[in-house]
Amino acid sequence: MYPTLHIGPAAVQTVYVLWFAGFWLGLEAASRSANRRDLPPGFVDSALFWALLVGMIASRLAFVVQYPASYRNDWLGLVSPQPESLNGTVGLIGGGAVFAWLAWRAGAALRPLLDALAPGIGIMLAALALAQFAEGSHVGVTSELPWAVDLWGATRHPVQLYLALPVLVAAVGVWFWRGTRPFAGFDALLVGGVYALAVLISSHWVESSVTVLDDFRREQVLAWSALLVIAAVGVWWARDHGTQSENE
Amino acid sequence: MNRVIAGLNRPGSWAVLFLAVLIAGPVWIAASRPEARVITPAPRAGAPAPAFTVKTLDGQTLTLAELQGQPVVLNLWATWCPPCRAEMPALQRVSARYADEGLVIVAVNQGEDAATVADFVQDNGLTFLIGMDLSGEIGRLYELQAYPTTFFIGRDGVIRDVMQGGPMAEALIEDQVRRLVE
Repeated sequence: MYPTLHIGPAAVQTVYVLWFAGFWLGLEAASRSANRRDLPPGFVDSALFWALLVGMIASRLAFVVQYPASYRNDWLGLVSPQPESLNGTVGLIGGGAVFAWLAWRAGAALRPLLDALAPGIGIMLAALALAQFAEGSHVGVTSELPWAVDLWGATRHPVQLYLALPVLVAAVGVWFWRGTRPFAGFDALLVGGVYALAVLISSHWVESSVTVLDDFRREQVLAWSALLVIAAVGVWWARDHGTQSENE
Repeated sequence: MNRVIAGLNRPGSWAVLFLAVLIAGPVWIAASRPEARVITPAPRAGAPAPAFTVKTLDGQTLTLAELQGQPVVLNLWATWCPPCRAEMPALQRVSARYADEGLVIVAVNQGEDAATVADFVQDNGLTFLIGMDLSGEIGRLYELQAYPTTFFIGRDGVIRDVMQGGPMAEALIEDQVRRLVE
């Protein structure tokens, strides 16, 4: 694959370019999608900005707490732009908590909010998988299928594409589709469901996985759990929608 | 298509989906188990470091198994990568400081020719082991996603921590190494 593009003397790491492009496109999609929904004007843009800022700060502070020795003699390192000096999990939790708090304070309805975010998050997830494809990580097992890709000295299942393409189609689909939805929150369930299903299926051909319980692949167990939650929420929201329709 | 989507406004449709996932999911997960397919544990903290064999810059053959019982810092790098170059002097100083405690630093170059690597090693006075991963096999084994990536491997051969990107501060390298040698 193409982990690094050499342009003259500059070496551009493809993965960062795809991450950045996916992140920017995702924010753009979420912002435009929010404008079509019953949400406070400008809320999504502003909340995403604050969530991003707090998430970055939280992820750096968590890293500093984890490795205090690194900063004892280098306080300027606190503001260095090194991506490896971030704790991603804490950043996601911190940013997510701020976004949820801002949504609650602004009185934004949950389901239109999730629908507004769905295409953006789907595009970001697809970009992450495409970045893995470009850099040749998260590789598939060897295969002789006609669509197998040549990677690391063997032809392999392009598992990263098995993951990226369905979620990209779902995300772009809900972004541009103007038809009537079965109920509010449907777009979020659709994008989340397609991604979880793609993980559940495609992980079968991934060469290397973290395993849990009795040697099951962790990502499959998580994806299966997510699918069950999504289907259960679907039952709940569809029933809720039916009750509302009857009352009307 | 519209009829299918419209049908999803009924709770019964979602209940059918729930049941389908509930039943088919575990069957598929079981069929994907490592015992059923040939897979290796992902090289993350807590997983055993994947075994490898590499030619060193001076033509010797090095295997990870030979280093069992010693703390190992495995650095995947390239000379064209500025953060990789920047962290090398720090790795050299930490290597010298902890040599008596058995620390082994192996910096495995990704796909460059021996002359380029030798020039860089000489210019920077590096004395730790330099591996030459011409085919990128070790990069694949360790799921290299960004240059540089450094694996801190304990005496028992288990990965203790992974640092993606760089350059790592010297204090960070030392902090990690101190945990390995303790």
